[in-house]
Amino acid sequence: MDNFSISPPTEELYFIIGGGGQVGFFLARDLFIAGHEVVLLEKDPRRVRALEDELGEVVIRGDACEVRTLQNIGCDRADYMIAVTGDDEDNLVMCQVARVLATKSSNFRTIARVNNTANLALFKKLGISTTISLTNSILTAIESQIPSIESTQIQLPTNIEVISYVIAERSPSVGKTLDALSLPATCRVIMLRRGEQDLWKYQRVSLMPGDVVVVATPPENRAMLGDTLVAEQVNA
Amino acid sequence: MSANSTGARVCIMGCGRVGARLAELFYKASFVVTVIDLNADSFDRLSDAQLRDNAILGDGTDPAILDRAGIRDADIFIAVTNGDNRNIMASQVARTTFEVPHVLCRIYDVGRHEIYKRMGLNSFCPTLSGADFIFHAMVDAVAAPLVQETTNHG
Repeated sequence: MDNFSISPPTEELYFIIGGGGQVGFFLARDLFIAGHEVVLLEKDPRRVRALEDELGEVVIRGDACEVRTLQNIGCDRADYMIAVTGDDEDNLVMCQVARVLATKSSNFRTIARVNNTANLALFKKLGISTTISLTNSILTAIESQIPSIESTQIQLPTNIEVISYVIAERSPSVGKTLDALSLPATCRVIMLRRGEQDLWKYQRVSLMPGDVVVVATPPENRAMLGDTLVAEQVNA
Repeated sequence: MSANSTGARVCIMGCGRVGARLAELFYKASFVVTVIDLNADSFDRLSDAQLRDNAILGDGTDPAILDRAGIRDADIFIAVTNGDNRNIMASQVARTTFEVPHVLCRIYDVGRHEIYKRMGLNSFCPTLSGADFIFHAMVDAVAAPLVQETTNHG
């Protein structure tokens, strides 16, 4: 028996890694050492040569977005596609293409690195099993250390925020009830604050300048809510 | 000045030869046209000043740029950059995030074109269409004299 043999993992899995940058390299190395089957795909021939010195046959020159490349390395029996290039569009496409090709694995999973945080929700919606965003991790780390400056705006995990709008002197909403205003369909007025009073039954109250309307809404309604509730009419 | 009778809005990502040509076709057909491209120089391909004024400089896979290009009101989104993956991603943003009713995505790579077509993306593959056109034109050209010969001797 070889004394240096690595104990086999409880289950040997087949990982395809797209993108031979720093993340791809260390990932391929660690998964390979752990006893898994690993193929690291990299497009750039110079980078491939550098990676080969360390990883040997684990590295294959090829585009992980190409159907034929993935078929040639047996993507049909893959358990994981891990997309870690610097381009979100490439990461998305290699995960989606691999999912179509991975017909033999019962529990195929995709993991994509997401660089633009605006793409996180999209990737989830388009069926990527796990998204990893370094940008988002750093932002979260910063936010947890600095208290929010704007106390009127609370960011909830569901992408709904709670915003307080102060009715301006010459706002078009003055004198109207909240029921009469055409607010976006995808928001809810939570309460109305007048002076020291919190009004929870606000529906029939005519708005006055200085009133505070508290609304739960997705961010895309911000502009429209601002226009309806706060904006001053120029030709009043 | 063309009267805008349709009022329909089209958003074109990629101002290369095809993108610029499409922009002009839609513009002449009275559509409201917005072109997006990463490179400001590519807008020189647009011959109409109004098209150039409307053009948006930026990455069309970024939802913020698409928003600025008026994608929320768009009836049509067409992705014709040189990058298949960029077209694929932007088209899915247009379809999924902004629910644009008519989306068309150019994919050069035949393999990817077939996969995304299967996934329900409206994809156009110039490689397939181009090769098909050339093949049939040449086969017909070779066959034509043969047909004539048969008729002459028949």
